[in-house]
Amino acid sequence: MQSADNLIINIQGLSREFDKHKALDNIDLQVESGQVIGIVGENGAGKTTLIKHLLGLYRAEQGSVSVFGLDPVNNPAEVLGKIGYLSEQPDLPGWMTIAQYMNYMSAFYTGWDDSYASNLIKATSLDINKKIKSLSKGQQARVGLCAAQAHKPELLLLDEPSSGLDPLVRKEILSAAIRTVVDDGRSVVFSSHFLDEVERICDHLVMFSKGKIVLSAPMSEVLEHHKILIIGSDEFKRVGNSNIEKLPGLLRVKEKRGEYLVSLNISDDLLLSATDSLSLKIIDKRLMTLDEIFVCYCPEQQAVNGE
Amino acid sequence: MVLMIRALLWEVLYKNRLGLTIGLIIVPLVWLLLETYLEKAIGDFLPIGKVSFAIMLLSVLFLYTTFSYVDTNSKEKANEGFPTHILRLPLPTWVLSVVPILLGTVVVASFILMWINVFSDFELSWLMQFTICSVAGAFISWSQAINWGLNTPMIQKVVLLLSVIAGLVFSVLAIFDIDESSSAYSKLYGSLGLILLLLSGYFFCFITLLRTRRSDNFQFRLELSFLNRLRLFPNNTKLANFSNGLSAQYWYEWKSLAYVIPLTIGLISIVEIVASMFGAERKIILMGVMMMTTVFLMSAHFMACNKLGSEKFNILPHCATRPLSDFDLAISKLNMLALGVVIAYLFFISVPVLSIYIIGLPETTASSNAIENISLAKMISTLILALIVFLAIFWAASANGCAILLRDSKLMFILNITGFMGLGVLFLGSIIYFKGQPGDFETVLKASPAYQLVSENPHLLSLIVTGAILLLIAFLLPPFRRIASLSQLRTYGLICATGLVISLVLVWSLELPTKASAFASYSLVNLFLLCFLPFLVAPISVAKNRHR
Repeated sequence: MQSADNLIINIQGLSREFDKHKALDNIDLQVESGQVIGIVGENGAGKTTLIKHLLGLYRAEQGSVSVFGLDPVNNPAEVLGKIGYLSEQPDLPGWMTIAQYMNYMSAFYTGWDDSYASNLIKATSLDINKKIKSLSKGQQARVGLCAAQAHKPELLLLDEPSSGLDPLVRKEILSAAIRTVVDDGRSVVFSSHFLDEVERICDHLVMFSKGKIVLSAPMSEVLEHHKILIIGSDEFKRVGNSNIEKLPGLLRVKEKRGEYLVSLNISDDLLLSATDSLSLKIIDKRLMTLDEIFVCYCPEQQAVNGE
Repeated sequence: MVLMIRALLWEVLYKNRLGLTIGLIIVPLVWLLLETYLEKAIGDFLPIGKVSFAIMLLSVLFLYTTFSYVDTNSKEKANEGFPTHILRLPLPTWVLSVVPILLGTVVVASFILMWINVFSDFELSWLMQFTICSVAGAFISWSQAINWGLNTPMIQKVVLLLSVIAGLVFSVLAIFDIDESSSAYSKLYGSLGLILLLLSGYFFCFITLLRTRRSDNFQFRLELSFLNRLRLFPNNTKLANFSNGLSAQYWYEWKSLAYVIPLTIGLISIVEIVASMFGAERKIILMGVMMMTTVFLMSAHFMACNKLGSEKFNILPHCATRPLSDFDLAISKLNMLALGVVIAYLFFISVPVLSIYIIGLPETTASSNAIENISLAKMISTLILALIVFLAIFWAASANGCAILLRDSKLMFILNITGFMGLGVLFLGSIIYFKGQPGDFETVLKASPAYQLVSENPHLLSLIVTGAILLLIAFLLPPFRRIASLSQLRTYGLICATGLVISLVLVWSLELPTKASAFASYSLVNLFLLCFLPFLVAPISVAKNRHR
């Protein structure tokens, strides 16, 4: 992800404080074109703050942000012209009709494709002469998504767009929209609380906790490397807690009904050599779900889950 | 039921506690503290009773808006509709509609009566007390009915509210027999008019709420299609052709709010002219002109609070989906504000012209001494100068307020409000002083509060010049040059410079004494600098607000 010249996002050492609270802490992130990046994290982890930096709405206090090789603060028109953006609460002018809104937005983007926009709106089955204020939250989100896509942006930024959408729309429309963008060799940065959705759509996962990136890896690697080992109580005592804690990629150890669940981020080869060196006998081994991975990396989630 | 009504009353009062404290306690207390000082400081040229009355109106307005805001919290929007959780209470609809309005009416009417009793020697007759309570109740109920969704299009809201206000004004005039020419039944007709307005307001509140509660399709829409043909309002069928993003943003700024300025001034102008046709007193026309002035001054707040600059607004989605430079975002707002102000100004100046045409010139006025010896050429020069200066003042007040508010900071907001209040008092004080002051132009000018303030504090004007020069220099430096280049500002600078040159030529043509001429010239330089300043300040405000 970090080697090619065609980086569309290049963030280095980005930090941001709000009232002495570190919203972002020394963030490094590089995104190439053609990728779907999923950003997850607990509430207040820094996801929206990061996206605001990409949009030039926050000035980098420390570090640098570059989008399409430009500083989005100094070149808002150039950068935003290549971005399609949809937030959790799309700010659509209620007094406009859908047709007026699409016509209005078309003036801002040189790449606006009228027939494509028309097809997108038709797919929503909404009456274009309806005023936006008369639409439901989900319908407004769909109109916002159409407007965000219609100029075929090089980068589609979606900040928790699923909140107002029903499961059907989430699964079909949003996924299709993102796939279309990626099939054209364009990119998507997508933040969401719906982990199943992130798992299904994204190529690369970026996990935030308390303003820091705690995990950044290709989705396939994340799912393959995160495992739970189930160890019997006697075996755990034989090997000793201090040796277990030395296991590479250890995330946490949890006792459950007389067994120990050891969560690890480790490749199969490394795991094999580590267990061999300790002569560790494992009752069972399974891959972690994204939900379990999320809970491991976000301490607040462990507290919420009573762990 | 009594318990539930008590709970409902508690909710309305508790939610309004801050507004109630400010309106009922803090403002009267501040007034009490200032009264002595104000009497000494401005008592010579401002009747203290009128200032007291103005402050009472301010407080009443505050109380009204506080109640209005709280009682119109909606399911989807913060400023429209009725709080839906109240609709779920097991109370009849008429109780739900009457309780909040009645409470608002009682608070506002009691406050006015209390103020008049405490701060003035005026003795209120029963008829007066009835009138005050009825006007407060009718206005509150009608405005609530409109806010709760009686009719949604903006134009219909404005027309309906203005009609109600006109009805109230005529009823009050009839009750107090202002013209002393009305029939013996005048008081009766006026009282009946007020009662009718009051009851109809409550009735429409009830109807609106009933409709909301049942979610039925009852519509109360006025067909005003002829107004739509004026193309001032959003047209749902025809789509505009935009040459680029900036032209689209102009359209957005105009259609979303800027049109409200000329629309409101235009509608008030019509009421004013109709009033003068029906022989209303000059005082009423003057009151209307004051109202229009207030609307002008408020226009800045309207424009700035539209998206950028309001704390209620999340700036992120708006800016993120408009790929325009900071300068373009600011300039589209300022340009449309300018268009709104200029059109509104044409309406504004049409009122005195048409009123004079209809009711004729005053027979003898105090200021006639000042103009009797002036030649026709000088009169025309003075008139043109006055027209330019008034337009410049309206623009400077509106645009500077808008430019500052675009920054979206509490400090700037407070500074803005303070500045506005100060300017307003100075402006009204000057008008009142000029109106009643005999003597030649120079004497009147020198005795005016504006002159006194500036001549005693010349650094105030120097601040403007220094600030403008510093800002212009700043735009030569890279951080500011990125926001706007001098070539982008050139057109606006040239317009202001042209206005200044014309005004200076007109002042010099009046052949005033050297000192007065120099003072007027220096004031004009500062006024036109103030007209140009928004073009420097607004892009900076937008940039600071947009890139936090």
